[in-house]
Formats: sequence, C-alpha cells, structure tokens
Amino acid sequence: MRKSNPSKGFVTVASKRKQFIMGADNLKESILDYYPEAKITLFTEQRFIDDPECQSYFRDFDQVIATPAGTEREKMWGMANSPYDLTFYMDADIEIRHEDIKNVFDHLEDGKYDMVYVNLTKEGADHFAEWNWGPNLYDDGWRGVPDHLAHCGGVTLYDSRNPLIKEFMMDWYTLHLKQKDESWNPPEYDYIESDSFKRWDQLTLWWLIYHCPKYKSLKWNFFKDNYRWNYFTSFGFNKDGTHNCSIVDPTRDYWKSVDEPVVVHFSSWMDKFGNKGFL
Amino acid sequence: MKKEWKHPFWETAAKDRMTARLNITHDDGSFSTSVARVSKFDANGKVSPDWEEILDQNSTEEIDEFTEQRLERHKNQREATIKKQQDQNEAKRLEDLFNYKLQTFEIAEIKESTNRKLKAKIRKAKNVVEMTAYATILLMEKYNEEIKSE
Repeated sequence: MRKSNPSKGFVTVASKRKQFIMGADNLKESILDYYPEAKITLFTEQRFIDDPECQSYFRDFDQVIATPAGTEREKMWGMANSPYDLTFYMDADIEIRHEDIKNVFDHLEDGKYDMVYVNLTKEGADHFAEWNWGPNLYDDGWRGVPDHLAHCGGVTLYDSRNPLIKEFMMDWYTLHLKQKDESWNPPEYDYIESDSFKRWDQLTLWWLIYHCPKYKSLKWNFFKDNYRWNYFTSFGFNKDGTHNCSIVDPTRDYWKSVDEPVVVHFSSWMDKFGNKGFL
Repeated sequence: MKKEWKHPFWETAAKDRMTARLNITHDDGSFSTSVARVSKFDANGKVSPDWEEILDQNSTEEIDEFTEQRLERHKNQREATIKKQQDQNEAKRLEDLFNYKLQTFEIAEIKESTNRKLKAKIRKAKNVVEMTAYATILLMEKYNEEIKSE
C-alpha cells in the first residue's frame, strides 16, 4: 500500500569540482524562480560541505547531504538516498525554463509508474557521442530489448514508495562502479562490440531496465512531452527562440501544441570542467 | 564481357558530358566497378562509343531525372551542413552565455542579493547584453543602499 500524500522534491548531485556546485546552485535557483515552495536536496562531497567558501551555494537547499565518495557518478547514490517519496533528479548542468516544473510529479500518474525517463531518439542520436550498437531500434518499430540507449539518465523521475526503486538506484550505483573497474561484465554486454559503451552509467541503466530479473516488475514510462524534460542545448534554438523538438523527436507530436522546454541541459558546459560523461 | 552504365547524369547544361557508374562483369565471372566521365565526342569529333552505349541503356529522360535527383541531393546536403553548423554555433553561444551567467552570479553583491526577481531576470537573459543590463541594475541597487547607509 503506497503512502498517500507523498512528499515531493528535487535532487541534484555535485561531486569532484566546485564548478558543479555552482551549477547545482543555479539549478536550485531556477527551480525556485518558478516553484518557490519546492524542496531541493543537494548531494555533494563532505570536503565541499566543510569548505567555508562553498557555504553561500548551499543557501535555500532543503538539505545538503554528503556522498560516500567523490566519483563522477555519485549521482546514483544521491538518487538512491533521496529524502522524498517522489523525486525528480536532474544533472547539475541543467536550468529550468518553464513553470510546468511545478507539475513534473504528475507524470508518475499517482503510482501508475515507478519511474519516468526521457527517451533518447534516433533523430537526436547525432547529438550524443554514441547511441546504438545494433539494429534493434525503437524508433524503427522494433520491439524487445533495444540495441541502443533508450533511457536518458540526465533526468529521472521516480517514486520511492516502491522499495524496489531505492534498490534499483543503489544497484545502478554499485554495478556501474564494478562495470568501470571491469569486475562486473554481464553476458548481455558480450554483444556490444564498442568498449566505450561499457564505461557509461547509461549502459548499466539499460541492463537494469531490460535484463535484471529483480526489476522486471517495475513500471516505467517515457515523458509524453519527451524532450521538454531534457532539451540539450546542442539541439539548438532558432532565432525566434523556438525549439527543435520537431526535428529530434518527429514521431511524437507534443511539440505541435505545447510550450517551450521545461528543462534545458547545458551538457557541453560541464564537459569543459570535468569527466561528466557523454550525454 | 558485360558493361552496364548505371545512374548517369549530365555534367554540363549543354548535355555533352556525363558521369556514370560503369559495372563490368568479365568473361571469367569477376566483377569490377568504377565511376567514368564520358564526353559526347571523341578526339576526331565523332560520337564516342561509350556515349552511345550509355544512351542505349538509359533514356534521355532517365538521365534528366538522375541529374535532377543528384542536384536535389547535393542541395539538401549543403543545407543540412549549414543547419548543423548554425546549430553548433547557437549551442556554443548558449553554453557561453550559461558560463557568463554563472560568473555573474559569482560577483559577491549579486551572489548575496535576496532580490530573486532581478536574479531571475539575469538567469533568463537571452544574450550577454541583457544579462549585463540586469546585473548592472542589481549592482546599482546595492550601491545605492550603501550610499544611503553612509
């Protein structure tokens, strides 16, 4: 039985470099611009929490919680340890641009879904360093396990009232660390020739969603207004300020009727400063 | 030996030169392919045998169509390249603007300000000029407060 009136909040994670804390501070402020009563938790390293120079960034966060380590993927630990029942996780290089952020938790449809993701489309694939390793592409109508990164981990909406969700996020964290040091290499990875995929936390997410028996019961969905919830700046904005969802997401039609993106992702900015990854 | 001229297109508006793919199946069963440029007239001013062979295998209308398709394809490629470059430029501009905003929020008076309305305007600025203008207003506000308190 899921708790009624769940708590709701946002989580972001900043590790390794101070610039990420600056980004997280900006993300928090941009949420509060549209949603003043929002609860936002920052996960960061203890050394930053103890640093007097960083204190000004922590203002107006609901909680600032120390991560156990300083890897570039402490985000999954933060996701697993969200203090909220319903959580919208966002990377720290994101900015909120629309008041619909207030309604993000509605996408979980009151317990109908455990997790909601942005779907990485074939037409958007040029904007990612690598995307697929085989012919089974969702956008071409194939079914089953896709041979590409379908779920974007840059933002994740989830409902921790299902206890499996916390375990899912913690497995995402621990398995990715093992994947990186090559102490975990599931048989499904044997079909992926490009080794670069095997460094990604995105591939761990793919495995957990499609191949891990423990999580088969989890109910997930993609945002119906997909890229509004993670619009990469490389998709570009036109001179009149309009977005390019019609180009990168042609099989959906939300962009015909809805407003501009809610979440804008400045992913290249982060790459300038640290080993963020590829998406 | 079997020669096949595939997808010829006109090189010139006068239609006196073509390019085509030439597929050759040799007597021993081996296969070779190449791209050949063929002029209508040979050195003696006579219509070349290759030219006649191409026209035997492809009608003038088909060659017109191949030529149009190629032009269209190249036009689309050029437009796609230009669009991609524009997208990259715009993304870079946005990334730079984002970086400038974060630097602006590092200015102590702005960082410590509780004027959320003006700070939101800085964040939502669409270009550096707009961002600087709002940052200046906020700094002026701080400056005026200091003057008053003195």
